Amino acid sequence: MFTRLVTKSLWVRRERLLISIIAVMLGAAMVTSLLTISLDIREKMGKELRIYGANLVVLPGEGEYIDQFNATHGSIIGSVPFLYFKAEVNSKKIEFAGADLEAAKKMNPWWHIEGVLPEQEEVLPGINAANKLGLRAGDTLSIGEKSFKVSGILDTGTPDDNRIFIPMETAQQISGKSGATLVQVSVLGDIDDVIKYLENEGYKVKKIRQVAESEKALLDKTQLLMALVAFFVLSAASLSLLCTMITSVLERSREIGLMKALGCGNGRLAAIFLAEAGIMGIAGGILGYFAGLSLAQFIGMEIFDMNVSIKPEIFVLTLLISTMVAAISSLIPIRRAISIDPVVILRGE
Amino acid sequence: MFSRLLFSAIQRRKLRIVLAVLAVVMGASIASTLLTISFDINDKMGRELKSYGANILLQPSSEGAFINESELYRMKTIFWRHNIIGYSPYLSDTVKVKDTEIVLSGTYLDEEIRIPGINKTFIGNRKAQEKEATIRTGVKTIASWWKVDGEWPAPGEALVGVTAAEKLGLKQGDLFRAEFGSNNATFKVSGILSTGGDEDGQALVSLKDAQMLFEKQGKVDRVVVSALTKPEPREKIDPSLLPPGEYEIWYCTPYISSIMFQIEEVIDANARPIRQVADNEGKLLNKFEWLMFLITGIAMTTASLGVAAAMNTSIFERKKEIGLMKAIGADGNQIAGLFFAEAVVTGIIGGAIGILIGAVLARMVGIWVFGAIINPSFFSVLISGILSVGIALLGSMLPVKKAVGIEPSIILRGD
Repeated sequence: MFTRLVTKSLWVRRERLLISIIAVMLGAAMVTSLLTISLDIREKMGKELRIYGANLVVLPGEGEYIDQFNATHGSIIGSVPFLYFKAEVNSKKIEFAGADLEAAKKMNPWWHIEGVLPEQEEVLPGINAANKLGLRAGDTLSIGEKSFKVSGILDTGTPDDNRIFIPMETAQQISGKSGATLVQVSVLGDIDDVIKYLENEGYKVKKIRQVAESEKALLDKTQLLMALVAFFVLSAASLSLLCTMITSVLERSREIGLMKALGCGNGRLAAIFLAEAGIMGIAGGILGYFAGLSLAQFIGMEIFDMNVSIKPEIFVLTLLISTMVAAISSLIPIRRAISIDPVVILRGE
Repeated sequence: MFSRLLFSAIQRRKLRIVLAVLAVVMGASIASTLLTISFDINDKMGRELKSYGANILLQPSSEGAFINESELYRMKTIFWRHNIIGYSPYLSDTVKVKDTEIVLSGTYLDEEIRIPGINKTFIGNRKAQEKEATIRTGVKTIASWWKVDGEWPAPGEALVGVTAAEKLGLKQGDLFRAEFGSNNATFKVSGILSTGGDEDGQALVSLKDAQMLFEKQGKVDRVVVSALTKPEPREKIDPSLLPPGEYEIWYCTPYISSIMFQIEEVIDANARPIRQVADNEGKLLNKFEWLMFLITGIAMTTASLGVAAAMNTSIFERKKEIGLMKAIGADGNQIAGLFFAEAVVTGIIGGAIGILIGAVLARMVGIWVFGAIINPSFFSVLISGILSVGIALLGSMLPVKKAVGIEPSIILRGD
């Protein structure tokens, strides 16, 4: 009997029902997409901020050189060993940096190279070093007895402009050293955990504060911003859902009066309406969840070029919120409706 | 008659009207909050990204030359002077400390610079006069990530980088003697500096002390400038090739290239972008702006649909009333006019309240997240206003059309 009452009443009013379900769905979609994005934003933005380059420098713990840097930690997304040494060029003391330059350029995407990356027997002077030595791309530079071709000029705006970059093997040949003086490491995630791990491995570790500190502050702010926006939209969506539900129950006061006149108890009446609201909440919530997920996915692809991660908690939360709001918002008008004498309602407006 | 009808219709159905207005308030407040934040996000996030440090580097125009310290204030007199957040000049050279060579740099730590009043004439003879002002600037403002164990140095004191301190065996409170040619100076270590960058291997003193030691009074060899900029368009702009109109636009847009150009106009130096900061900033700002606008777009669409649904319901439930009006001789246009007028009133009241709420919310977000006030822009108010009235009208369109077509006899007979 009860189920028949509920299904019948839903079926008879399908047009009105559709509007209510759409209202629930819209709210749920907003909640889902914003929650998904704001829970994901830290990781996504963190990845974006890695374009600032390395945020850790690893120095040898003992001795002067790191022979092999093999750190395996989930948060380390890149590492480039550098060999720094000073040598005299045209009777001027210049600092050289040997590295796998392709990897270095990848880690520091802002490196601006007028020319190409050097291969064996080629060098890449920073713009200040080049000015000091009067070098241009294509010139030859002699270090000791060997001569090298200048493959390009590096412009970064940082102290790297004073150095001459060369491939690692060439650097080791010229300096007669093996290994690296330091390793630049790019960390995505918990940087303090990585520092602890590397220190246990016997390395000396320094934070590049310019990058590491700013990144943390920026990520905190972004996350706070997204959480606030999500919260506002969530409250607004709940309130507008409340409006729709209230209206939809209010317009049925005649029906309620009739049911009462036929002897339906208050508890039973409330149960019928709550069941209806619950069904609408669940249906709208599920539809809204998937709509919201595709919205979040659209934003993720559009802005970060990445899939958003799907979290089951959000599904549960969305369903919970939509059902609860639907139920609570129908409770208010039901209480009003059942307190009214059926005679008054049925007599007319 | 019409206004009395409208007024009494609103009065009789107080609760329903309140609900419809509330729906509009919700929509308008979401729209106005998010729009306000979106329009301002570039500026606010730009300021946040300034924590990555300076984005412009000034170097002497020729090898071996210097920049005059006394000219530097002029960058606060250029067209985009308010976008120059701070600058700090450096004078560096290699000195000998305990027979070890290290780099010693002099810079502003936290200096107050006087900017003399300026008179400027803009297009159309509009005169702008600015009073004499001062700016506090130096590494404390520009390099906020520097960590100092101990005190910032006073004149005669020095900060020593952590690597240099280890190499020289210096601690806070120690004295060291720096020799440069035949000159020498003694500094007290006021603190140990760690940055993770090149400064770790250097010693840092006030600019005056360095100029005295190197005998280069009033000269600096490098200036870093922190400026708020707008992301440059993808194609490279060569200002000398632009036609006059576009040149004017380029000049009056805070691109990093136009700010550098304007600095070079007043200071004898070469300006270059610090690419690590300058290049990335534009990319990130574009992403932030996009993100906010997408979210705003989605939220506004949902809010509009909500408003439309609310309006739909509010007319739907008045079938009987419409039937009665028709029965006593109202024609379709009159009924439609009444409902549209109601929608406009709802939209205006709801929109006004919503915009106010939105302004307060955006302000709160600004204070909580950025520690700065976000003021509603003209456009965000305009768009939210148009949106709330427009959507209320649009949402009524469909049900009004239905209402006009109602056959009075059927409706009045009962359900």
